[in-house]
Amino acid sequence: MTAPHEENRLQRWVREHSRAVRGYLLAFVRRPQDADDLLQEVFRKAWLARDRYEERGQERAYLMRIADRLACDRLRKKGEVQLDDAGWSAVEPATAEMDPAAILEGAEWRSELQGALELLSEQQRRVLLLRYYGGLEFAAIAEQLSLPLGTVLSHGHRGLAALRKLLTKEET
Amino acid sequence: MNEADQNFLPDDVERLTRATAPPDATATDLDAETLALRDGFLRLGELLDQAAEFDEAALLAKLNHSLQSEAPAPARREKQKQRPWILPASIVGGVVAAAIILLLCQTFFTFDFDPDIKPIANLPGTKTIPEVDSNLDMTGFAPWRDVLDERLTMAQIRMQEASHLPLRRTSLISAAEEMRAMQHELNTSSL
Repeated sequence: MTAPHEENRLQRWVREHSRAVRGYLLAFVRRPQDADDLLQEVFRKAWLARDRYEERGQERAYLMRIADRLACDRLRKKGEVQLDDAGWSAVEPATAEMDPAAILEGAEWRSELQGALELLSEQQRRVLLLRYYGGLEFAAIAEQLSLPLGTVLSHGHRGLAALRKLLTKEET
Repeated sequence: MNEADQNFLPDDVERLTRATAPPDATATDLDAETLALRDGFLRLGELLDQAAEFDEAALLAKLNHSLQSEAPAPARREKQKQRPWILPASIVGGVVAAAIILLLCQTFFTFDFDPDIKPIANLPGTKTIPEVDSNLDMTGFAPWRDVLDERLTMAQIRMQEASHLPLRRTSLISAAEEMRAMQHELNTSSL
């Protein structure tokens, strides 16, 4: 990776896609440090195999596919991880320690995210987040997950219904 | 299809697709049901987005460092890609070289081997033959100047000369014949 235009390309990849990929990874590994490690690995693998990507098309979808595979590998090795204060404190604003309101807000946000993620099965989470962050069509998601399209649609529908219940409960 | 599967009508698929359209897509004409589903979808994304703040520059620095150490591999692949003939050429070259070696072996290294010929040194009562080379000064052998010693020495010189030259079938055969004759003489007359 020596040519300047190649460096610019990598910079653009990071600028345009790293937040989405990291958000996806966080939903699975749930620890910022682990997500950051995986994020670097996603971009490294994607960059080294960029010739293959060029044959396939969309950058975001390409990166999300790699992120999905790495996140699942990590989960199989380490098992499901629960959110905890130590894990998430790194992503809260630095001023949060000084501001009780921000601490409370952070705790509420964490609790809500924890609740939302627990409502969803792993497959539902994958379907909805590949759609949210990757913008993949359901057919492409089915291919990525090696599942029939009907199963993917079902996971998506059930996941949305579960999230809707969560919102309704919060409103009441 | 597993038990989670349902039969989705095109309208259901359309609703699901619209409910899960990317966040920046403008959602218009959504019915209440689809809108409620979309709210849940977007809320999950927002919650995750809040946690997605991080240091892009640090990531880029780590990536550059990591990728620089792996740079030679793609370069090598690229180089190999530019010379697709290298593998077939190597195989053909190897085959030709093997054929030439085989031919040379057959030409120079096949000679009749007589298992009855025993080395002179192993014969009982044989004198030790001094080591000689091609520049041997024969006057050094004056005290033992008998016919058999001289013939043995000459034969050894011929053998040594022959060992410096490329192996030739005829010279080796004649040397072997001479050795055999001397062996006969040793067995019959000298001993």
